[in-house]
Parts: sequence; C-alpha cells; structure tokens
Amino acid sequence: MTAVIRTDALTKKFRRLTAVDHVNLEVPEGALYALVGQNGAGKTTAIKILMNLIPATHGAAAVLGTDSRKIRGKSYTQIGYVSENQEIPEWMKVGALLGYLRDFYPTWDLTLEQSLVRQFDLPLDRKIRTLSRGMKMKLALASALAFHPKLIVLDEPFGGLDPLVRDELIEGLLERASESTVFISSHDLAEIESFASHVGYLESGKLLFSEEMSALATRFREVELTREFDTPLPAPLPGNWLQPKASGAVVRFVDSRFDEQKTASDIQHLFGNVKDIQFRPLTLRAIFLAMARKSEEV
Amino acid sequence: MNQILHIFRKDARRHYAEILISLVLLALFTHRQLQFWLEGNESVHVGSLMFFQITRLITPILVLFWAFLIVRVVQAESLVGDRQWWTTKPYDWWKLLLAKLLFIFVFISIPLMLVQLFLLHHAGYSIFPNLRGVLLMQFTLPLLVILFSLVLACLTRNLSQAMLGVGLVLVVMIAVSWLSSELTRNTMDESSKFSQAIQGFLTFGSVILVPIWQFARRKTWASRGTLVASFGVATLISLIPSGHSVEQSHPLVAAKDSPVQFAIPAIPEAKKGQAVWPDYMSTAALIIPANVSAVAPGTMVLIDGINITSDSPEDSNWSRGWSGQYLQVWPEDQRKDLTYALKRKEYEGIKSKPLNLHIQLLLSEYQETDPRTLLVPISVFRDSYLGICRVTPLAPNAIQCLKPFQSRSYIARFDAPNSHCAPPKEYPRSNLAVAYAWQPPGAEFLADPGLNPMVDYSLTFNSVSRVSNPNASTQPAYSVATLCPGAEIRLARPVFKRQLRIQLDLPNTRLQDLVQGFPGGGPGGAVSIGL
Repeated sequence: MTAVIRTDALTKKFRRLTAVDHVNLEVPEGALYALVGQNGAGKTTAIKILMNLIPATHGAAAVLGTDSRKIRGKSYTQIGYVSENQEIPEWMKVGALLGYLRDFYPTWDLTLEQSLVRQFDLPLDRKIRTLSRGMKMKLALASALAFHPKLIVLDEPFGGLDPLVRDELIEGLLERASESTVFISSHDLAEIESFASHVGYLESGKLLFSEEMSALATRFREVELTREFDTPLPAPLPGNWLQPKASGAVVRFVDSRFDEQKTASDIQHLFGNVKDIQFRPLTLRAIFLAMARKSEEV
Repeated sequence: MNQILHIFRKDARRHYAEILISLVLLALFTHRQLQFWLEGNESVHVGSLMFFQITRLITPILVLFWAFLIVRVVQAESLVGDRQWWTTKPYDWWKLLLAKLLFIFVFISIPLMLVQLFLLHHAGYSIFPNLRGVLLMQFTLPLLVILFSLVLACLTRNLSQAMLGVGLVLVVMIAVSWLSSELTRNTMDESSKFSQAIQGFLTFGSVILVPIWQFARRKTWASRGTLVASFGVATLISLIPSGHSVEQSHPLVAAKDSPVQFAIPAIPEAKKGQAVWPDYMSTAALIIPANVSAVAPGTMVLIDGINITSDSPEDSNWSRGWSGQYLQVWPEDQRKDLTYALKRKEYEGIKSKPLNLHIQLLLSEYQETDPRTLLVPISVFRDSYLGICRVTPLAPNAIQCLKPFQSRSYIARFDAPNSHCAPPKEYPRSNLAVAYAWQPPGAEFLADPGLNPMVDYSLTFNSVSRVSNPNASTQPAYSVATLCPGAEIRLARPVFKRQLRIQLDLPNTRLQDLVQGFPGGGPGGAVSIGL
C-alpha cells in the first residue's frame, strides 16, 4: 500500500522548544489516521509542516508523493484542510464562499456541495461571522469535501463542539472517507476510537507509536494475576509491563507487547505458579494513559 | 485569467465602500484642481475661498486613502502568518499578485489617469499629444504610493502592524537623517554616479522584488530582512564619502577670472558684551558681506556653496566643510551676504582670536538664450513656452502659470526704473530697482511628481541688491519693483555654462565681528506688481 503521508525524522524547533522531534510517520492510502496527543504535543505543528504552512527545522515530509515544501497552489486541489484555528473570511455569506471556492477546483461537485449543505443544514444567506463555531466548522468541512480530495487533513476539528455537532461532522466525514485518506489530529481519544483505522501517539513532539487500531488493541492488555503469597514484586520486570502494581497477592500491569503464551510464560518464570491470570482488553484512553504515565516516569 | 478575475471580483465586492470613498475623494480632488484660479482672486466669495483652503488637505487625504485601500486589499489574503484560510486553497501566487495589481490599476490608476486627462482637456490642452505625459506621470507619485503600500501590506499582517511599520520607517528615517548630519562634514559632497546607481538598484530593486518574493513564498522574515538589509546597505553607501568632492566638479580659478568679482568691505568691531546668540542655539552663523560686480549682461552667477578655513596659529579644526548658499548674482547686484554656520562650542572657543580666513566659493555660471519681450497683459494669457499665466492682485509679486507636466526653466528680467509702472504709494521712485525671476534648467523629459498634470509655478521677481556706500558694511538699501499692465519683461531660457571655485582671503578677522552688526536682511526687497 502506498503512503499518502510520509515523514522522515521530521523536526521543528522554536528556539529552545522542540515542538516536533524526529517524527517518522507513514499514513497508508485509504487510512483514517488519527494523530493523538495532549495539548501542546506538537500535532498542529506537524500538520502545518505537512501543509507547508511553516517550514521544518530538520527532516523531510512527503504528502501525496510531493515534498511538503513544494506544496502550494495546485497541490491543494487534492487536499481538503480544515483547522480549528484557521481564519475563514467572515465577511462573506455561506453561499458566496462556496460559490467563490467552486471556481478554484476542477473537481468541485455541485451536487455533493448541495448535499453537504443539506446534510449540515448550512444557511446559505447568512454571513459567516454570524454563525456559531459548530456551523463554521461544518462549513469548513463542507468546503473541504465538496471537491473529492484525495487527502483530508483535519486539525482538531471537534474541539469545543457540542456532541450533536460533533457526531454530524464525524458522520459527514465518514460518508466521504471511502474515497479519501483522512488524517485527523485530536486530543479527544473517545471520539477517535470510534472511527480511526490507524493511530499515532505524539508526546512532547515525539511519536511514541504509530499503527493500526486493531493491532494496537491486540497489542495492549491489562493483566491481573493472583499469587499464592503476598511477596514483594521481583525485579527487574520486563520493559513492556507498564504500571506494575501489587495489592496484597494481586498484581496488575499493562502489557504493551501482549502475546498470551509469552506473557503467561514470563509470569510463570517470575512468579512461579499463580492462582489466576486474567487478560482484559483496554480502551484507547487506557492505553494512552498507560503510555503517558510511562513517559512521565522516564 | 479566470482566477485573476475571480479574486478581483471578490475584492471589488469586499471593498466596495472603500472604493466609493476613494472615488469621492478623487472627485473632490478634481473639483479643487479646477478651482485653482480661485486662490488669489479678489472677486471670489469668501466662503468659496475658505472651502478652497480647507480642501488643501484633499490631496494628502486621497494619497493616504489609496495607501489604506491597497493595504486592505492585499491583506485580504494576508501573506504574513500561518492561519490564513486562503493559504491552503489552490491559489496560484502570481495570479493572486496580478489580481491585486489589477484591483489597484482599475480602482486607482485608471480613475486617476481619466481625471488627469480631464484636467488637461479642461485647461485647453489636447488629450492625445499629452497621453505619453500622463502615462509617465504614473511613474512618479502614484507609483511611489503603490509600491510603498504594497511592500507595507506584504510584510504586515493587519492594519495595526502596517501602522506600526510606518512608525518604524519614520523613526529610522529620522535616525538616519540625524546620523547623516552628524557624520557628514561636507553637506555638498555628491555621490558618484556608480554609488547612486547602486543605491537606486538596492532601493527600487528590493521594493519591487520583495513583494514578488513574498507572494511567491511567503517567507516574511526573510523578506523583511532582505528589505532592511537593502535599505541599510544603500544608507551606508550614501554615508560613505565618495571621493567625488565638489572641489573636483568646481575647478579652482584665479579670482580675477571669475565671472563675478567680490570685494569684502571693512568689518567693524563688535560691541563688547553684546550677546547675539541665545544659549540654546547649538550653531553660530557667520555673515560676511561681499560687494559684487562685473557680472556680464545676460549672465547669472549662482553661488552654490561656501567653505571657510583658517591657517592661523590659534586655529582649531572648526570648519564644517562645504555648505550650500544658493545666492543669485545678477549684473545689477551690488551686495551679497555670505553665511556660514559652525558649531557653537567651536565658535565660542575661538571667536575673539584674530584669524586669517580663507573663503572658498563654488560658482555656477548661466547665460540667457533666446531672449524675447513679454508684455504683461491685464488678464489671463497663454504663452507657448510658459503655459497659461496670469498676475493677480492678491499675489502681486508673481506671475502664476499652469503648464502640463512640468514647470519651465526661465530667466525673466523686469527693468522697473525704466518702465512706466509706478512704485507703491509709500515708496519714492528712487526705490525702484531691476528685478529678476529665475528657474534653473532641469530634466524636462520627466514629469513633476504630483497628481495634477497641470503643474502650477510662479515667476517670482526679486529686485537686485543695492548699497549706498560700497566701502561700508551697512545693510543694502530697500528696493522695490512694480509691475503693471503693459510692463515689458525680458524672458529667456537659462543655459548652464560652467562651474568654478574661487578663493577670497580675509586676514586678521575675529569671528565675533562676523556675527554682529550684519543681521543679513538678504539682498534686495519685496517686489510688488501693480495692475
């Protein structure tokens, strides 16, 4: 599968602050890739480099096979970009904006535009400055989808929106996702978990992992074992056991490279015979919490 | 082309209010230009005259509004920052730039050109022969306004930043001007043509290239840096002594070979304890009276500059080098006051010491050519060389003229004592003196900077200076010249003949004597024109 976005040791420094730190990323074609991380993790900076809005300090990035530094003008006929902090021409009316954009895109689909206007319930005669934040995001998304872009890049599109609008946006996005690759950044893990096919986790500018959601869900397990006696935890424990805690005879940890046979074998080796072992799947939120705490410990 | 027109239409819709205001201001400007003859006309209604005076501000307001409009239009797609909506849309940078230039052309340049053609037509000049002149005019003030506003708009994000930018430019200009005056001893040194060419290339090159580069790449800090560096280098070059001094352009000749002969009369001693200059003044001006003679008829000698040095043992290095004079010496002139400024501190240190002063003067000689007689009519008249002219009772010391694109160079002589024109009532006929008006020859292929193609200029007459006793350093006698209908004026074109330098010596002189007793009322007196 070809990569729609590929970065190679992508780095951005703002004086002493390293906002993006040697990020190697690959977004396969057709993926619905979610770049997640806390506020200030470097997600927006990374996206701005990909969109050639700011230059990288080191490293390189390619978007749709083009060096990101060369993305301008016609390149944007294939990229739909929506950002929560982008300035929309608020003096225009909704209909005028869509009409204005139409002439810029050879692939603009008027039927699709009308369908999106209906779906998002956009008031064509109203000035953009009078719209709510949610409506503005819907308009931005409609204008980014109506020309069948090969790549849709969304930077924190759901921030501060009420759940109803958020669901409408996600629904609209998913309806178009089959024909595009979607790259979305967010710090809200719950909304991402419901639709992302791939996920990357950015922490202080570093990409801690980037993989398919299904693989991630398989790879992480919460393990709970019950020993025969309450003894101190042996040391050292395997590096992939995150947040190990003992509570009496019960030991809990998150295995970040879960393989049922190997994990059971490691437990046997370290604890001897145990009364009970349970493996529980984790939510995306729980995985990221475990990862975040690990990085804090480091 | 579609995208250019598309962006242009969007901008026109967005800025229709500003466009309307700009056109209204242009209409007011046109109205004011048509009322030109109101000023100085006795019969005009006071209300109209007041309106005329108030509307003097129209031109600067119009120019400022154009700058504002350009900044607004360019910043509608701001080139500074990374949050703009348009930057992730398929805009071709050169189409965006052309759309903005098209806007400026359609809503600023074309209306202005139409107004200029209308003003020419209204003044009675044909449009087609003057079309080239109108086009050339677009490369003067309008181009400067457009380029400056474009650069400002390209390098700033919004109006506040643009205003801040203007403030910064003003501060830097003041600082550079101060630095230049502190560093440059010779105010008359000329830059070499090569250095002028480099300065022009850096200044205009950067002003043209930076917006293009900014549109193409939006590298704001690199663009700002390039502009600052270019202007910085150009300023530095202007501050570096060129080696092309005025001495080179004005070869030294013996005083006897000068087209004007100078003689300095006896200078009386200053009275003791007489305070001449207030303490807060940082410079002291020396005034040296000089009798002038031997200027040939049909000749004018311009004293371009002066430098005073001293070889006395008490001397310190107080000379400020060459400084401008720009005094005209006509055949009938008898006295000119030469002035020279030096630092107050230096002056106070040596003012009472006798010094051997060497005064060098830079002279330019001009000669009349194609002389003819012009009879002053009673009303507005057309002259093929001067343009449309008139004399007015409220501005009696000048013949006001209007001419397409550029004022004319001229030497005009009025022989008041031998004319039939009477002096004003309060003066006897003995106060009448010959009077001259002049405008040096210039680069007549260029248009004057401005918005109105009809350039107004005045032939302002000044009577020659006369002294009752050439051996005394008393003030020149007050002279008048009165024009009246039918008065004969000899009108000629000035032709540059040569530049030279002469030296006068003033031995055993105290500087304090040169600042007292010679208030320097200037040569001659006022000219009144009676009709």
